[in-house]
Amino acid sequence: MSIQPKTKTIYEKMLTVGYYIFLVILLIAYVTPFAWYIFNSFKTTEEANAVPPTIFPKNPTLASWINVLTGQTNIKLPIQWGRWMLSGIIVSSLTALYVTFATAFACYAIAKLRLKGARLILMLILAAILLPGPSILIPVYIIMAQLKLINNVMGLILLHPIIVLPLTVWITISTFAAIPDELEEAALIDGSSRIRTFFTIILPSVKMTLITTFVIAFLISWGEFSFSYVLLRSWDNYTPAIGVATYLLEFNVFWNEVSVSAVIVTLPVFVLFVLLRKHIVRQIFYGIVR
Amino acid sequence: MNLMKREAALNYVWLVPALFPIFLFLIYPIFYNINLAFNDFPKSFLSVIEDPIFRLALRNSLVFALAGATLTLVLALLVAVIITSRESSFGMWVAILTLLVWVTPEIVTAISWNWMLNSTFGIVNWILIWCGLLKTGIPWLGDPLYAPIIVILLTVWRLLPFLALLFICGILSIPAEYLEAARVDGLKFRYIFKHILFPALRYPIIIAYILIFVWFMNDTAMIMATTGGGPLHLTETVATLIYKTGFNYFKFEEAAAMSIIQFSILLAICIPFLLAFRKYWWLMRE
Repeated sequence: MSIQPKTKTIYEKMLTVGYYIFLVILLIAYVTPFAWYIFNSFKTTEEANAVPPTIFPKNPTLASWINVLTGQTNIKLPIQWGRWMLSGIIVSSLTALYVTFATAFACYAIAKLRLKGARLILMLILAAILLPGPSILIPVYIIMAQLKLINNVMGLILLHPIIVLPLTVWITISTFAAIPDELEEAALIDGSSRIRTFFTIILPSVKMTLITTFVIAFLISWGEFSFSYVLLRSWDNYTPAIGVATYLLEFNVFWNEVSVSAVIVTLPVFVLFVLLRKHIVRQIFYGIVR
Repeated sequence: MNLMKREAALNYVWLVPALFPIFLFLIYPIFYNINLAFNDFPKSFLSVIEDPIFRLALRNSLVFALAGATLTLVLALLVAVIITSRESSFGMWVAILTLLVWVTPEIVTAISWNWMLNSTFGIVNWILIWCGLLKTGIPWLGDPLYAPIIVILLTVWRLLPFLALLFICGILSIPAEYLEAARVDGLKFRYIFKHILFPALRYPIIIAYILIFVWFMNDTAMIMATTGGGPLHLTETVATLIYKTGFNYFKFEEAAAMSIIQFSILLAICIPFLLAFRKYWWLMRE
């Protein structure tokens, strides 16, 4: 039972106000860059380059949206968002599909089957969270050249799992470890094979985890920059992230059109994240904390 | 007996899809790098080590990673402790919303900041001018003093939500009775942090610090799309230099030598990372 007086002290009230001020500052710091390019996508080229700049568009126009989406951009170069989005969706979906199944197989084997050397294998996979990056860029480029996969989205589908898979194994393994043994034992005693049990009993029991794994893999693959930027050499084969990067790095005058590109690249991320935010947060963070 | 052995061997097949990319794109490249860099040993190593730009980049990499990871860690702990200090669904909502930055392609946020920080028409300068804090705009990304600081802060900004949510989940998984009891006893925050929060967050802190440190060292998109390594290579890191050496100047041997140096640092960092994972061993049965 509380022995403190019911009326809040001034100190407590100030704490509450401070708490909400803190949240609002945090919100502003994280929403501003998004709001900035969303607003700018509705400006004219003059207004987007105006000095001093405006925050809200004075005369909102869809001109830059129409320009970008129809390919009639101010720079006379092949901007092909339809094609790039398709490439991006193919690369990210196939990567995510591979990663989801590979993660499920590996987590099942490590957490459920009695493998000798399982610790060593898990250590290797976890180490792979840290190691891929610019330090393997040169060999990856040469391997891709030998496989004739430079400037080919197939190369990215082959490559992206190394960037995603170690992380997904890490955040998924505790879910597999938590599956009770009784679940599969009954089926195995009835004479069902291991593979069959895996697909009919184990996978359905962790369905939501698998969907979340798929989405996390999709998101990481969607935004991957370092490797794609080196491996994709021509406009025809860009993914959305590379398309928007090229737009900025080479033609940073038409900020309203760059903004449209930025919105296009971000939109699928927003939708997936908003739909599955609770599951994504739970799987990543409780997966790590647990 | 033979049948059991065969089944035990077959169990390893489950790991093939996960290990295939690791062998093709991690193990094989390591040896490829070594082969490439030792092709004309010690010529490319010497020219890399004697290159003042590489030395600067190596120093930058380590300073950025150390300063950035430490700052991210401290701020994330602060954010997590403040947000969990009361049961507010708005607080959780804000924390989850900020994670949007982490899932958004890094290149997009980098482009947005590049533009907002522009010296003539960037909104940041104009807000500061409107507030009367500045007379004329500062070229944030071209200034030798500010550019490195801005690059660190932008990456801190990007990685902070990941860490903050990790710590929030860590704090929320502490049994509520512990915190309640501490509050009823009127314990000072210092004691609560030392005896309740910190023990619960010990592993997340170690793992997160290493992760963030490595993300800083491996990051290229943020630097490439904001400063491009300039001014005067003051924001150049080993990561961006490998990039340029390999694909702008096509000196693959030198880039491979740099890669090996970068890789050795990451490998050394891996050891405490893996040791922190000992708590995961219960997940496996050998």
